[in-house]
Amino acid sequence: MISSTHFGLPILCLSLLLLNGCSSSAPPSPAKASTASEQQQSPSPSKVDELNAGKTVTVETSQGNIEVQPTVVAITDAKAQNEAQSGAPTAVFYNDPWESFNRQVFELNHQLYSYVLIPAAEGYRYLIPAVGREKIGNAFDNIREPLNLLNNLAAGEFAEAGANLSRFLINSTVGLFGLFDPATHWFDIGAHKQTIADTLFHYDIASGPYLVLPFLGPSDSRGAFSTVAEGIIHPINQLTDSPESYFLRAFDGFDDFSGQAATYENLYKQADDPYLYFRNQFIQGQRRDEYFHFKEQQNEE
Amino acid sequence: MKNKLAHWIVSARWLIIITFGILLALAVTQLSKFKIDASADTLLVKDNALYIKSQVAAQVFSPEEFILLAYEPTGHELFSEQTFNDLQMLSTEINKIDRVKAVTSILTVPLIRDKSVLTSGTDVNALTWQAKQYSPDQMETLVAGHPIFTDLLVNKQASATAIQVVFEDNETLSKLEAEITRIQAQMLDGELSVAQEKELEQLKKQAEPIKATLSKLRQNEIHQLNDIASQVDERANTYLGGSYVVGQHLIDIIQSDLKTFGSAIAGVIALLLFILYRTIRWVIFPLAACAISVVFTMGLFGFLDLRTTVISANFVALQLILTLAVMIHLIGAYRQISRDDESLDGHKRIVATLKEKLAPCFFATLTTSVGFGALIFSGLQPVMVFGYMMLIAMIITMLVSLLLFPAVLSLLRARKETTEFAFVTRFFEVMRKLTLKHPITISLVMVGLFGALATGISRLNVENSFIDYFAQETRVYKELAFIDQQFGGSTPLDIILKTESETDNNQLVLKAGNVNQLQLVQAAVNAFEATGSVTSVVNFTQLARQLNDDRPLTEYELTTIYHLLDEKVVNQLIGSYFSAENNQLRISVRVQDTTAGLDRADFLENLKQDIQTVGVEAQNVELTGLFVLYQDILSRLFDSQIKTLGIVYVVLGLVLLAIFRSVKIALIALVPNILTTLGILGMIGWLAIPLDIMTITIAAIAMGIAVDDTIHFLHAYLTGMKNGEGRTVAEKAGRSAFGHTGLAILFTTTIIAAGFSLFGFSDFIPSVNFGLLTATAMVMALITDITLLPALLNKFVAKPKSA
Repeated sequence: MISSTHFGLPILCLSLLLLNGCSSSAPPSPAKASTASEQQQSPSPSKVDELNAGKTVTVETSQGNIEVQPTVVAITDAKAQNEAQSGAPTAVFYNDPWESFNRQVFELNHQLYSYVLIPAAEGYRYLIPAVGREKIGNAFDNIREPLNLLNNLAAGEFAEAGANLSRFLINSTVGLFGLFDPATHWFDIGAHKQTIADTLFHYDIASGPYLVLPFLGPSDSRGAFSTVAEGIIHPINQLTDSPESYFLRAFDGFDDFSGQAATYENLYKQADDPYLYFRNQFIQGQRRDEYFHFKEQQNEE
Repeated sequence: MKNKLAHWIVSARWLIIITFGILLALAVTQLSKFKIDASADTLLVKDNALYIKSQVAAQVFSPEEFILLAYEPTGHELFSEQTFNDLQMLSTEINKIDRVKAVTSILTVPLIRDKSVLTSGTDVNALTWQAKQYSPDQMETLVAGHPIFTDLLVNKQASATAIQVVFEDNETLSKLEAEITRIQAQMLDGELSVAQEKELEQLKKQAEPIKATLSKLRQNEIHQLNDIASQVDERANTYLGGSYVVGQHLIDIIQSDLKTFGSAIAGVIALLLFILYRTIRWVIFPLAACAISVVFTMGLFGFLDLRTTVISANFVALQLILTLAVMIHLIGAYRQISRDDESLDGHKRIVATLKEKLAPCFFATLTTSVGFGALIFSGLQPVMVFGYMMLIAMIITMLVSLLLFPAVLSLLRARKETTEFAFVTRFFEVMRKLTLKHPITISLVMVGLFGALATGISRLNVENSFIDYFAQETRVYKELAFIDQQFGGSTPLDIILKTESETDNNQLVLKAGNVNQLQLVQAAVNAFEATGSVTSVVNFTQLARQLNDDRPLTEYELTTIYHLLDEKVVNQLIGSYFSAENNQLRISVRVQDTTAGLDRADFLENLKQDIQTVGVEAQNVELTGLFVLYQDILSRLFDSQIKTLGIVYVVLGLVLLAIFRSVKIALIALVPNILTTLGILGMIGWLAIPLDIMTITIAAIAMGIAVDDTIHFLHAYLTGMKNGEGRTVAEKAGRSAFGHTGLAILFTTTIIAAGFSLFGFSDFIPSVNFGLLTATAMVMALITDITLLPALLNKFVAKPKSA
């Protein structure tokens, strides 16, 4: 009579967060973002479309007004204004003018992942136990802290910049060069990662077209700029000289990747068109993050 | 002919006795096959589309069978080491029960403190209390208000927790049921072929013994669970809930009612018989005849595999009383005849008795059968089965009391009979004179009285709540009410949404639009006070949002999660809420039966309306489950009540016409009975007793029994009329009717009313209502039959002849 429920969602969330982690962050202004169906059915979007767009809606039923927050959204790129006005409405829009180039890079990456990185990641996971990998990840995160600090300062997020500073000082000392994270566990100071892309987003710099980077995978023009620029000013450069610094940076990336190798393989197999799948997932994730980042800031103000 | 039959019965007494002896022996061999089936679905109408659709939905989403064991600490905090120790101890014990597949509690579910735990790649299954030994304080923050576990493993106030005991399916049975549903589903599109009917029959036969074993197992398991739970009695209150628990309680209560009230009624009957007749023989013979009737009937039900359900459980009491009624009339006449002419020998007395009473007794049982027979036309399967069962019981009663009883009686030596109580005869004398002198006044007063009572009919309402079947002070009620209020309600209601399968994008398992539509519906459902636990895929996406720093997932992330989990886990998690294959989403709702002032029809109507308001077109949503099935029955109760009563009136009118061969007399005979039925319905309305599948049977049964009195009275009255001339016609008729026949009517009414009143002591509310209302109906019938009926007869039948 009573139906049963199960409990394993956490597993879902785990993988989810990993996926989020792999997209570098960033771009177009949230105001311009819109949903597929909204474009389809404008001018008056339904409640479902509003929820798809990330908006909280109020519905009136026999029991009064009920406020509903979305738990799953589908926010895609806004079209250029003139195009939206003139062109026939298409179902979904993903800003990907360089698709044929992107597809080639995507294919290249796939070969690279399949034959080099994934086997290597498996070896790495085999050799270094989970605790060890966690410590290595912590250390790389700590080295990044000054970069986060600068970006947060540049974006005017002083509270978060303060957190970055405290975390760097605490974790570098008490946390034994960042291997541990006492800032979070003892002082309750959470991480506030901020990339150049985030900062650019803060100043309303659009993400630009989708771009698949060799090795690094899905990104966009703004993200690519951010990655390159951060490569130059990354604190690791202050600790070591090239080529060791490149090596370390690559290892940082590899360490990140190792956690997701299985995920990547699995999704690649499941998708009808893996290129589209990874692209759409990346773009929707970016737009969602931007929209909610924007909303959270509005709420703060 | 009557004469011949009477003589034949006396002369063929040995043949009759031997035949009945053989039949009785056969019946006894079948007794062991007699079964009680009190599962909730015996209350359902099974051959309609709604039921089949519910079965199909159950196949698609296959929810698991489970029982909740709630734990409410009495002296310590819920989140404390004491609680954790108890839960662990209980879980270990429960796990030892054979069929238990899983025991889930707040100790065994993964609990996530924050995102950081996840990013480090920890195995989520290690995030349980068992692995982490979280402190009571930590547990409180993690568990209280959890989007998935609230209403299931912890109540909203976080004052009690529950252990979910999941049971293993019986694979063979599941397969058989899947087959049965598959064939039945074709009934939705048209008739089944003969071959399919046969196959269905075959499958049901195969499923039968498995189900029987299973219900025995369940009974055992519930006892075991109760035993285990009792180990923490000094520290905590425990409550068992779940559909099979309710079913088990129903079976227990019906079984004990059958025994308790069957024997209590027999005792009361014996006592009353002894007081009335002051002779042992008039206690033993009628009781023996009653017992034989009941044994026959149970044997025959066993042989025919007719199962006693919640509704028909009263048949034993009913049959005891109805058999007795016939015999009291026979005994009354026999005693009168014996007193009138003491020289008659035993055989002559019986022939004389039969001559006088065979016809009215036959017609009386016939009309009672009509009352029950009308239930067959109620259109509600459980009530129809009850109608059939009572029809069989009445035929047996007729045979036993009119053939066997006189045959046995003829073996007795004639004796001197005691006289009747003087105060009763004096009271009848007063009534006789009153109805003779003031027929119009009496008629008007009675019609006025019953008319006023009948206005209560406008107040009749229909409701059905399982919990209200049990008396409030019983342990069963308390357990069910606790689970109902604290752990998300009782009666399941499923909302099935069809998601449109769009071809333009096959990459996604579920689109954001699907989930958001689902969420709007779920929010609308949740807004109702009466909805307890409401679960669907949304509860999972809500948790995901909570863990994702309060940001929603994208539709791609959702699909990714879906693919990353292995098929087994997906099935386990959301298999009962989402079917990718059928493009269906299910919201599982439990309706809180104890919600004060819940109007179920209104609730369902509003719910349907609201689902459309939030954007789901009517053809894309289907409401199924027990709640809908019960409501469907309730919605038909009024119609069914009118139909059965209409049939009873018409058929009884025809029978009366056939008996008395006069339209006038038939109409007059109907009046007191119609008043009685309307009066009892009015009373149900005034007392605000909801009309449900049990109470709906009362009016027709009351009429069937009440009309007996009318027939006996009329018969005696008309016989008396023949003896009078001119102005004495009415007087003679009255004397005859108020003579031993009147006494017999009074006696039967007293015994029936007293017998049925005993049900007032039952813990099973439908029985209480049924017993007390039937008793009231009997008294009403008596009142109309000794006031209105003679008044009308004196006025319209006896008078004109004298003029």
